[in-house]
Amino acid sequence: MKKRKMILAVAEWLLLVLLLAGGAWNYLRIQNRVEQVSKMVDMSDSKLVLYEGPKSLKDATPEDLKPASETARDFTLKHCVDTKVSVNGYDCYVYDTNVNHNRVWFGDYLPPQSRTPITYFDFEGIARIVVTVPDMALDSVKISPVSYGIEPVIDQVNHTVSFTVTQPDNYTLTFNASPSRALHIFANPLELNAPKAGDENVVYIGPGEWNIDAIMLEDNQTLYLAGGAVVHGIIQSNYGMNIKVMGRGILDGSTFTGWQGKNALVPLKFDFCDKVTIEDIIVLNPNAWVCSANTSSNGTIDGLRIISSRPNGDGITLQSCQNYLVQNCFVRSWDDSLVIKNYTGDSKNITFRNNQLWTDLAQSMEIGYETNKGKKENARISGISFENITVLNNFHKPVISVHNADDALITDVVFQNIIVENAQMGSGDGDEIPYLIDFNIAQSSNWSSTKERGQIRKVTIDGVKVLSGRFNPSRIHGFDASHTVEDITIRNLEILGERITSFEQGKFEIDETSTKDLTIE
Amino acid sequence: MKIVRRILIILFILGNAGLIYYYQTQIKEPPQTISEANVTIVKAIEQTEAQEHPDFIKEEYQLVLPEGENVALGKKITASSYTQVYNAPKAVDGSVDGASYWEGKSDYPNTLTVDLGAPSKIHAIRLALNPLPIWGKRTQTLAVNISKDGENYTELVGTKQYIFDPDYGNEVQISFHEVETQFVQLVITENSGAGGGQVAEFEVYSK
Repeated sequence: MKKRKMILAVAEWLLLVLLLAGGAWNYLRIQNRVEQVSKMVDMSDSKLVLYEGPKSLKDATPEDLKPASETARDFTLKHCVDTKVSVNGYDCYVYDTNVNHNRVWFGDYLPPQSRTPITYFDFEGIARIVVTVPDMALDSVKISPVSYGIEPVIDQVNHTVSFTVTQPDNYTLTFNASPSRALHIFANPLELNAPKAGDENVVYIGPGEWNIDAIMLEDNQTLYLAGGAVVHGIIQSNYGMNIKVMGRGILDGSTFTGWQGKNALVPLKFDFCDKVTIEDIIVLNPNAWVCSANTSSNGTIDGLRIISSRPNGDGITLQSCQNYLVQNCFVRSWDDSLVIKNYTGDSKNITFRNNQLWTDLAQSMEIGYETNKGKKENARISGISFENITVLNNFHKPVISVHNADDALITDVVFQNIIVENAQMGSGDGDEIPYLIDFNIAQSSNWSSTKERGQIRKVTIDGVKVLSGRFNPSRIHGFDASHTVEDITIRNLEILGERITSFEQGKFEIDETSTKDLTIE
Repeated sequence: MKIVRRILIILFILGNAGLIYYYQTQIKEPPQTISEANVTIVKAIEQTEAQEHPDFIKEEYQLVLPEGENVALGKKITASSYTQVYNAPKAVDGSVDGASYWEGKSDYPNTLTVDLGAPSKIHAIRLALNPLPIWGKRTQTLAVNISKDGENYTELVGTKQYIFDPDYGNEVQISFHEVETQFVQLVITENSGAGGGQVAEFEVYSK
């Protein structure tokens, strides 16, 4: 009896130990599972808005994709069929728009045009994107901005590229290290507080393909271009106040012939205006330059997306403007991407920040050349900053340039945190000025209006990183001993992994007689 | 001791059962696909080609010129100022196209004075701008003065704001009782669409 009791006690103790161990095991198992589940993608809060493209747009045929001038083939905006994009399992509408891979100027204004796919959608949470390119052998895919560190999964058999984004932004896929057929994905945040048709002072344009040659906005009006809309036209105002242009839609100029030095139909032009806001819309195929303001103040350009391909297709160009903020934009242009000039009065207090640039021709960030076209006394360009700019490609002329071809004083200019993903300055006829950075005071037969020359003072470059491409020289050159470039500070310059701590190491070409107080740290 | 042990065994069995239950029922994998309810597809409209947008279709404006003949056409004209290439003769050259207009500097008042060449009996003035939509609706404030000698002017029409609207031909017609004069002068003090006064055609009508 005693023995039986002992055996039972031992069994009970064993059971207790087993139960305790089992409890610990179950607890650990729960912990591991919770951790495992917590790392799983959670789509429960994800939201997605897709926009069907106009049914009237024709499919891009192989003939449409051949490089040819605008007069040698159909130039109109097309529906892309060789690049498919799905987001979270849903198909996106892909457009085929014109781009220009030439790195030389065409005097006849008729460079051969290529095409590239673009798409857009709105989302919140997670967007799992699958791109299918059935006709393309996939060796490599780069997703820009590379700062996101997105590593795509490439399926060479099925010709797909898969990746996930969680941050609304503009993403570009470069296939096989070639700019050809690069895919631009404009992944917008969800649209909040969009105006509705019939709202007071709202000009509302809904989905569809519309011919509206010119929309001239008046004081206090808002033009809303809804997602799914393609408007062949231009939007402008002169002397307007409190004007807003917004929406997810496309403003397209592909039905207009190129300006060819005569009739520029500028898609977004706001001259002598006050408090103009431009948000989010996409501008394609302009017949000349794209988003322009002259002698306007207190403007905001936020989230604008631009792709230009025809001659003089400057992206965002502000002439004699004051108190402007240009942020979160994507500019791919066949001429300067971001530009400041003086046409009438002074340019002052202008900030460009968080913008992505792809400059097919000319300069990425240009001050000049015209700095006093209005021949005003004591002309100035001051308080200009370029911050957090990612240059996806710069193919032709300098990335950073201050060109003073008139008698103005250019001062208080900052370039900060500039990332150049692919530096190819000097391609084509860009070898005339193949510089990474170019500060120059010059007399130009093309651009100078004044007889006297000007000055460049107090320019700071703080953080320029060239990730790949060419290690090209830079230039600092005044005009003469009286018209100088002075007080230049360059910090945190890194080219192809090499930290630059001297002008010699950075291949700077410096004219000693026309420059003073140059520092590199 | 025995009773405590057995209570512990029961508690541990219950605890383990609870943990197994929690593992199996309470730890849920998050959804791996987006909920259909969270997807919005904005539909395209039915169309086979690009359309004129109904909100932007304008009725064709029927221009009715004042009675008589434009006696200012091609006559001598002067302005208090002009900008760039937009000089005064462009306001009497019979064209409103392209760069064929006069524009004053922003040094108001701008005056634009046409010499009809000889005393004429006039009864209406027509001021025109380019009627293309890109010219945009604007207002200009102006008065009309007349003179027989080009030096001493009297007011014919007092200062008033006029609307120039491309939807309505971008023109303004000012009628008055017939009067004889050789010089007709516009005195412009405001233009909501430019820095100075603008006139593409300055027409003066005589029966």
